[in-house]
Amino acid sequence: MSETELIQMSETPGVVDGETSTRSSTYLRYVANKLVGVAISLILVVLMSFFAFRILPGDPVASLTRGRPVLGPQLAQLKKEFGLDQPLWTQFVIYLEHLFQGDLGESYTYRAPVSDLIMDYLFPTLLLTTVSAAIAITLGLWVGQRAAWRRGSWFDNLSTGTALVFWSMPTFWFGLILLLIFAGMLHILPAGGMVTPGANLTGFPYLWDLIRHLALPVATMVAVSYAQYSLIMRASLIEEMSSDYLTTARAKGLTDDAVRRRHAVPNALLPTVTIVFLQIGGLIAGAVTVETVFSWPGLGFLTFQALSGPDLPLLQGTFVVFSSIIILTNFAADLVYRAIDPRVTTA
Amino acid sequence: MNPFTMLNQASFDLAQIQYESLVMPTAPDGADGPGLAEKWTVDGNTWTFELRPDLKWSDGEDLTAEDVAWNYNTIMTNPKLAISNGNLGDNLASVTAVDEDTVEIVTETPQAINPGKLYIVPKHIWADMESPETYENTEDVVGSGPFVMSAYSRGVSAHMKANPYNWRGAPKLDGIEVISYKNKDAEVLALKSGEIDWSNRLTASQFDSLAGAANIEPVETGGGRYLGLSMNVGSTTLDGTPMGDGAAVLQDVVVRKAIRQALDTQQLVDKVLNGHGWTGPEILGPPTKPYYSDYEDIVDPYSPDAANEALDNAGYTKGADGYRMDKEGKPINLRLTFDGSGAAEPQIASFIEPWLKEIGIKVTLMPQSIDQRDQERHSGNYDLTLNGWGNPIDPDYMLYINTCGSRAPAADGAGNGSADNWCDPEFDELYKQQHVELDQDKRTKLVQDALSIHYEAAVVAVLYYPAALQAYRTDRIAHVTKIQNDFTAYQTFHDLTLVSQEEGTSSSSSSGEGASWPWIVAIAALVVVAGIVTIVVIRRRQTATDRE
Repeated sequence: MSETELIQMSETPGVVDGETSTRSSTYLRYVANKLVGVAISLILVVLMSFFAFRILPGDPVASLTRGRPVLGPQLAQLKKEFGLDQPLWTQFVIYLEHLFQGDLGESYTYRAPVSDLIMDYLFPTLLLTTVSAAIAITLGLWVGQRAAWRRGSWFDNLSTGTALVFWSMPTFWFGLILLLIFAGMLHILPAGGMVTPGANLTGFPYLWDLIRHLALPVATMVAVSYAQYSLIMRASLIEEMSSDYLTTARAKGLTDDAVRRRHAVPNALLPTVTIVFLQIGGLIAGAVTVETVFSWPGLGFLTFQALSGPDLPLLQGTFVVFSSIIILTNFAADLVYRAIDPRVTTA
Repeated sequence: MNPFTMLNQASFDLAQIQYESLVMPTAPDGADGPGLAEKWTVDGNTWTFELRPDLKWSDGEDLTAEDVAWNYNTIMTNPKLAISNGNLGDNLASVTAVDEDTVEIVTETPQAINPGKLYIVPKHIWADMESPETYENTEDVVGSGPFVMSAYSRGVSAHMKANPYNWRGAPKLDGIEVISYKNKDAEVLALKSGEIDWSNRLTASQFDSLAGAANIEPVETGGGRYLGLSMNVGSTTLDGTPMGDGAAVLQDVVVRKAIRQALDTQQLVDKVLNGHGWTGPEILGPPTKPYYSDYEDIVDPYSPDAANEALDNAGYTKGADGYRMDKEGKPINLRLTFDGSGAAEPQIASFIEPWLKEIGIKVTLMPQSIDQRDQERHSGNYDLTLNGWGNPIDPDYMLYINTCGSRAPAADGAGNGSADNWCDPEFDELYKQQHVELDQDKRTKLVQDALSIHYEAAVVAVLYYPAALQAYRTDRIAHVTKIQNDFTAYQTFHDLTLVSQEEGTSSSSSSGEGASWPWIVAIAALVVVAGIVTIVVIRRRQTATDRE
């Protein structure tokens, strides 16, 4: 049994009504099953986020006032304001009550509602990760299938080698090197941020400014992540290349290129797609480092900052948002997988 | 940037430029000088401040004694709005506007500290708010300082425009763009390439990397903090109950003094700070003139030999492995906790370990997160720990955190305001006396007497006082006023003069349409990013405006 089939087996819900079931009803049941799983995961995340971060050492009030001339009464007042003077269960009940009203509380450090902060920082992160993921996936898949088709060629050796080198690099180090070269030595790209502050650009100049700021963080993220896509694509295409149906296709007189594009690659994509979706969560996590190196005003950076203190409401908020994104992309992966692999539906 | 409730450094930095107080730190050494008040007198518990004539807010409204009195009364009566100003409102009995230009502040008990250090915000904006504690105050700010925030993009930048009504006259710049860099090294690159014109809170190595760079002027001023090796003298709570698990051997002052004598602090200044700092015996460093002293009559100079001799004489014999044992014959092994996230403290710890080995004391290095390290210190669970405090120019707070009354109320360490969990009634007595002494020479003597006691107790081995390091571009900024003991120099931004655009060769990429020129771009490190931006030096310092 190949790895592909193993994945399908585990992804397929246990009961299939054999011949009476139409494809759509099984599909619906499958989706319903998955949705229940999603709901349970989300509820667990909400519960966990409250307790998980309270294990962190540190007294938020003491951390916040570190180095400032603050006396006992003010510390007590802050504790009261943050609700930290209440017993843990009371705090938890209040947290849940607020959560059901869509209120994530107020950040200790920023003294602003957590939901506002997340809204402010969400777009930059989505922009950065989406652009990076799109480029990394396209590049990775293209390089991977080229390399596999000409296995052992100079292109294969060079591209596999390059991919591995980039993959092995620490993200922050590679980012700093890029900064040093393009911002520090050549002065052709900005040293950080998302737009030039105070320039108040609109229209095309604004877009150009955004692209210039995006260039380095995206290059960093693509470089360290495209390797996994290309290597998986390469491996699964090599597996397909020995299949009989390719011989048949060639025998029908198809050109080599058509055999690759119309027969081999679609089949090789199956395991790759699963991996791609699973990696999206990782990409978002990787954004933490990249955002910090390039002063990118995103969620990853916000989370990183919330850890010192700890800024509990902010941590809870970002944790819930990150987890939700990952749970939902995994759900999407399940759906897409069913849709592109007809074999899954006829178990 | 709510001046009543702000807690993070970035907000304080921005508040400094926008709001002023009755008295303000002035060049060259940061002493109290005229601010909104032209002059003041003090008589027992009563301080009378005369405001400058014709003061105006940035929206053109009059700034009067009424505004000042409202601010003070607000922090005295509404605990939610007393968050940012620390102990400023603690000793106030009443604050009244005698007439349009006169404010009278009456304190509960006499105090040497000038009470006129509260940022004054406009009553006509704040007084009618439903819940001023939640007002974010980031757009169209009305203030009295040289610049006020007109636009703000969270985590990105703040746009400050000149306030033509500032009492010094309109600033020489149209505005300032304060940009957030999360990566200090990137910030330095941006300064070198002319993307920005000013950068502060640099590390020693970043500062040195700018030496000799074209068109860049490094600025080094007294930073007003100390970093010390705190030794657990036997921590106790407010009522004297022992707490924590400090090594018993450290309760012997001979051991503590020996440890202090074994530390080559000048080497730390040279190696860790690249020479950008000073070393000295006590918690108030050279920038805190006139209170600084070298205590030459009582100081124990660096000498591992003398330390070894003292330990031998006290009966701490060395075992076969060269490490000493305590008086029960058990090997001494001290834990050294420090902030492992920054660059400086791990480096310092790696110096201390061999130095103490030289006097036969074994040390186990324990890097921790800064939050954990503080929590352990608050509850007395440490032997040795690196611990630094910022000292505002007035020494009162630095002494206060060493009084018995600042200790933890309970053994869990919550609400502990003590620097080193130490307590000495004699020290407290001198603290109280200097707190009310208005004669400068007498007060200086009282402070130094108190610190002599502190030195003799060897509670903390002061390692160094780091300098405050900044740099600016000379092709954009022509004139800067330095204030000793002011970390950000934002205090003096009203005084910045730009090189004219024709002469300048700014390569700033941001002279976009619609932006008025000339721009100066300054930076606020809006955040302290552990591991990347963090320098311990930043974490605990106080600018001259962090009022005591």
